Amino acid sequence: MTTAPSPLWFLDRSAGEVTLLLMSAVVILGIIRAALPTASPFLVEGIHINLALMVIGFGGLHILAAILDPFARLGPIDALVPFVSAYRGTWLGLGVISGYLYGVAILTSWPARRLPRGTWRWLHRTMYVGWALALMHSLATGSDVRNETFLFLNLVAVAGVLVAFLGYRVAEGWPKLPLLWAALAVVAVMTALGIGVWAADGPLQAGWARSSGTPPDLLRSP
Amino acid sequence: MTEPHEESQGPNQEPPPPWRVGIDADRRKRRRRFTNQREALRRLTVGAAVAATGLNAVLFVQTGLDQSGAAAVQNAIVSAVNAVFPGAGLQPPANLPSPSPTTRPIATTGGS
Repeated sequence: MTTAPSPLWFLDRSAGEVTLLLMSAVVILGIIRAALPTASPFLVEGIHINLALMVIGFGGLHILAAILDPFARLGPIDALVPFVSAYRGTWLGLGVISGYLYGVAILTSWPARRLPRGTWRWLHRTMYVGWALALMHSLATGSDVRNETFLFLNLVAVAGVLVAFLGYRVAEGWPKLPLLWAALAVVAVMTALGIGVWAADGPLQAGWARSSGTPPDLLRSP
Repeated sequence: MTEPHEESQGPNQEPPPPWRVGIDADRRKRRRRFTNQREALRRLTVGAAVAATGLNAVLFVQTGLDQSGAAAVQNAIVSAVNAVFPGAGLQPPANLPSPSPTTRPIATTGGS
């Protein structure tokens, strides 16, 4: 049994953070593509798709490293079934659900949109939820959430998505349906603030490793 | 005898009508713009992939330093290099470098 983090655990953490950042970039580009359909559509959609494929690569590396790493003793079942893991099960489960939502968004878009436009659009919009779940998974499952670099990168990701949503999507929809878009803007800001308050009160507090469900034998000190 | 290509402009051929010249120029412009955008997309994608890989490496080291100290990161890098290049013979240092027991000066300049 291993009780010290291994290189695979470091790889798991780094690939997870890169996956979240790439996913944020994909969401931002998707927002720009939806709000400004005539602004360099080939380029915006092309980089949106290519980064989405990179997310699969780094996300796969993240999952593979987590399974192979002996530190947290995760298995394929933990990566496939949400909320069953002995290691921070609730928070790891959010990552699993986020992965499934991402998979749906990819599979319904590639190699061609086979679904009716409206259905595809609503399935694609679930990625807002998928992204928020990935962010919470990153904050709550990572053993280095209080590391300044990781914290800064997470803040950049949240600020980027929020600014893109308010600056492009809400600004574009506002003249047509002001009440709806005002409500959506409030929901977006409240969600970001809510995650911030939850993070400050939970994952950023001392003792989170214990209260989040880390198995006792993996904790460094009693 | 084969007919000359529709778009070729040999010396014996009549110049295309003005409306055709405009359409051809527009087509060429659109084709050039598409080629430029495809090249820009390729560059952006390669840049993003390199940046993501580099950031992954930086965060890997950062996580290791934060959780296990410099020695663990050094061992992790050595084992990663050995996994990729098994014949490299790279070994992690057994101990930290210690000062030499003797301090005999060594002449590095001048002649005999």
